[in-house]
Amino acid sequence: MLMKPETEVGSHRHLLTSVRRVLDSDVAHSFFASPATVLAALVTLLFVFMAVFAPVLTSYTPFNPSTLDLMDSFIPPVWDANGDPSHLLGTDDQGRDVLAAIMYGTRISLIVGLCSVLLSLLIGVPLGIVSGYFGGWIDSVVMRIADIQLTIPPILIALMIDGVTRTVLAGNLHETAAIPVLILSIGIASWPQYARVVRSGTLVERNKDYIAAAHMAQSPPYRIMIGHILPNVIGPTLVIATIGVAVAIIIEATLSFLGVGVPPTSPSLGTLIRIGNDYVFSGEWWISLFPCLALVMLVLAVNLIGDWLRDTFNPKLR
Amino acid sequence: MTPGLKNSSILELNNLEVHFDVSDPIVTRILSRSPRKYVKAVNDIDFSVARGATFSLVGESGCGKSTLARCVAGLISPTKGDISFNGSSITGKKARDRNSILRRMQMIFQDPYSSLDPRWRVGDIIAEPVRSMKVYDSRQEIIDRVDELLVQVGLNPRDKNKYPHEFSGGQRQRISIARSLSVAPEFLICDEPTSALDVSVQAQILNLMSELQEALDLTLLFISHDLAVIDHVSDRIGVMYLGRLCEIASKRELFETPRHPYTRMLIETIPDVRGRKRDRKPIEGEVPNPLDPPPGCVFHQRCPLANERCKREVPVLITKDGSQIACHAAEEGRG
Amino acid sequence: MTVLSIERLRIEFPLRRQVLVAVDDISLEINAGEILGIVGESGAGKSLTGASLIGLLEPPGQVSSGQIRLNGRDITNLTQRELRKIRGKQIGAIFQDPLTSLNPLLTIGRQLTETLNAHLKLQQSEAKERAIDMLREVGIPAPEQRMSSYPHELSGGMRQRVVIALALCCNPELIVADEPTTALDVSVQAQIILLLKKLCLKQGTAVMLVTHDLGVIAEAADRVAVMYSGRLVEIGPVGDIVENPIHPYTKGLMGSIPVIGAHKHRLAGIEGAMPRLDDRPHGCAFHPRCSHATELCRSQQPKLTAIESSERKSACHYNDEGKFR
Repeated sequence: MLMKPETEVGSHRHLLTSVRRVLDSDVAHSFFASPATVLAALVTLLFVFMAVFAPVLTSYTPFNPSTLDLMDSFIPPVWDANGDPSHLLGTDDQGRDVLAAIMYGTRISLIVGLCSVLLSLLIGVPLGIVSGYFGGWIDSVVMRIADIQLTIPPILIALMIDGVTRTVLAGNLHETAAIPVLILSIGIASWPQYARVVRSGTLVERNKDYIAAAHMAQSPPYRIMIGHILPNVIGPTLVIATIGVAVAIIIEATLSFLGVGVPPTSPSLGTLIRIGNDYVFSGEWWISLFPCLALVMLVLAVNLIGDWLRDTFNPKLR
Repeated sequence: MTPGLKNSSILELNNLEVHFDVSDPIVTRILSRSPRKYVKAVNDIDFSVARGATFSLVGESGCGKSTLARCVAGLISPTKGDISFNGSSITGKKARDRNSILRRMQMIFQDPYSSLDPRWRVGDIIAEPVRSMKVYDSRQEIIDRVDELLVQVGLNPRDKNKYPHEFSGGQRQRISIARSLSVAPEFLICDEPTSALDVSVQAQILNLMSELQEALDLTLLFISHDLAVIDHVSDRIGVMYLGRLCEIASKRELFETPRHPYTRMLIETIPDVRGRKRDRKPIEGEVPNPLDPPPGCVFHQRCPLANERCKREVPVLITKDGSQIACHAAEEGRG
Repeated sequence: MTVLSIERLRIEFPLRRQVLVAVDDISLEINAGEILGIVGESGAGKSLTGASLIGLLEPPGQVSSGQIRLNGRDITNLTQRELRKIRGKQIGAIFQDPLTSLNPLLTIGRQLTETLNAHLKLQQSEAKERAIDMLREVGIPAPEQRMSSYPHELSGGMRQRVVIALALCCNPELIVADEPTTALDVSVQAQIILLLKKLCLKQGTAVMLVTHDLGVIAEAADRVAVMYSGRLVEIGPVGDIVENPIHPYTKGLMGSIPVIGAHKHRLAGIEGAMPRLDDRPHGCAFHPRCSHATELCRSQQPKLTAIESSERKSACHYNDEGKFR
């Protein structure tokens, strides 16, 4: 018991020094030395903030059709002569506030992007480690499947899975299951690239002597794979996954734009762009343009962060 | 362990062979009609290691000495032949049965940078064997053992919370030694444990190993390409060339009266600080490609004593005056 | 005749938080036909010293002060363009891995003749003739046929011979050889050392032989410079340094080497390890590992001073005291 206060003081000091070490580290330095990355991080933070606090930031509920009033439809942005100060970026054909729709849409885009990458990682990382570690026929089978899947564009695969679930699930059920189905299809469509990166990393690590030492220690294969190989190969994979989030957001937007993604009742950025697309030539450009800008900014920002992470932590991947 | 086994051999290798399949992928092979290709890394190896002694394998890179060490450790399966440890065969044992073997046989690796997992703390690295083999029941026993080992190899118990990158090459090799000793083995395979280190650090590690050998009654199988190191640590030495043993002799005999022409060449040509022999003629030629070894004696192309028989017939290891040698010339008394 | 003279060379790595001094206050000379060996443990700065001569310091490394003179001409901070003219023609380089020095896509004949064309402005036929002569000189059998071989078709020892031929083909005044035998099989090392020695003596080339292998130094060098933590600690004729070192570090180094037939139970060795560049102790950098260290050693850096009645210099405060000899 006598030791306790001392250890607490120790851990407190430890925390302080680690914070200082992080701020003083080369990583932090390279981050602050790159204005584009800092800006990208700020933009991403802004979007995440918007997505998380959408219900607080806006009083509109664009996903609830009963609160919409058709009388409010097609109001231009506030700086237009016909603008309405209560609708900063105007409204769409249903009378939905565009800004609020973007906030809620970003939410869906981010959820789908993050969850589908998580799913890809959950499939790709174990398969990559197992095939790299054991080699032989397991490796051949897994990697051939990955190769075959890589020859088909991910959007096509996602379309296929989406199509199948659409016919299997009844209309209503499909509507509610739209987001999980999207996550599933994008996640399944993009595991091969993670499996490949992890496998090549595993092939390198497997031949290092610390693995031989683990064999001499009688550590079983599962513990070698989880305890030794995974922590040593996961770094570069997570860096790629960051860029993967941006790609997944784009795929989601594309699918939604094509009308097979999120239903119009709870629109994501892609759905909003599609809705607005019908009115671009009739003069209501804002319905489509603002969601477009939001999507471009979000994807660009996430991509820039991913690029920086890759360059900083794994220059060889460039 | 058994009193009756004292002074007998701890390790015996019989007719050991390790061949690696380096063929092209099957499709390429069919298209180009090329046959399967094998590297005969280790051939016809017979030797035994006496308990408590240090047996060394010396040879140039690619001679198969590291492959042989890994084969003894069970990291590579032999193509043919048998290894017996403490009197019983250990080839082809299932992983479960290897537990009892690995409790008594451990290994130290060459590169102290790749032999320690960079993501693990030193304490966990050292404790990995005792944890996996469930040597101790309680956590505290493991912690105490790690502390004891760290002190034993000349480090501080506090070092167990650090990561490998905080240590120099020599210190890392001490950590590696501590890990190998954690299960209290009697037999240690040392695969070039000092060749990645600077000379002054090499001296520290060699001293540490001889102290530990004495204190813990260890038997060592020591692999190195450095004759001076070999001479310093060994009792008995096997010289390897292109996957074969050419000579096995006690240290004194090997360095004072080397019999095999290759052994002579090695001793004669290796740059040495003290023996600054100015006008000497190094042997011509280089080690042949192990994918395509010459017929007959593998050394005949570079051997000054080679005759027609050497080009046709592979010499076998014969015992002569207490040492063993595989050379037609020595057998015929031409050397 | 002095070919290379280095005066108070200092190599720095300016980093964000501090400036690391990798090499400090190195002064030495190499005469024509002489081989100067530079030994030291990894991180002692020996390879950087060699690299600075041929302008191959990796950025941000830079020569921050001092002078490098080749036959009297200051070549310290030449532009890359000027350096290219010197490299190959006046200074040849041999590195550890022969594969990195050779272009894998060109035949060795092409690489030799191109070097000769570029530096000596020879005709094609003359260049070819000289290339074949060079290959024969470095002991490559059937040089006419080998001219059309690619580097990967040769063995390691043969490749290093080709690199030596490339380095020597323009009759350079100086060769910088950085660990030229480390990647080779032991039985081939001796061949390469002998070849280098023979050719340089014949052509009167000065050689800076950088290696960690004291055996190679003892075998090949005429004089030795011992480096520790970026500084010269001892320099002198190879026989003196090997048999009767003065500086405590050199002594420890020699005591660390196992010697065939010595059959000592323990090697003398040196405790501890060389300090990191960012963690150099005050005073003499060796003092934490030196059993003779005094207050003076802890506070003041010793200068490299000549030892009376010998061609040696040593950087120790207690050079003259008999107890160390």
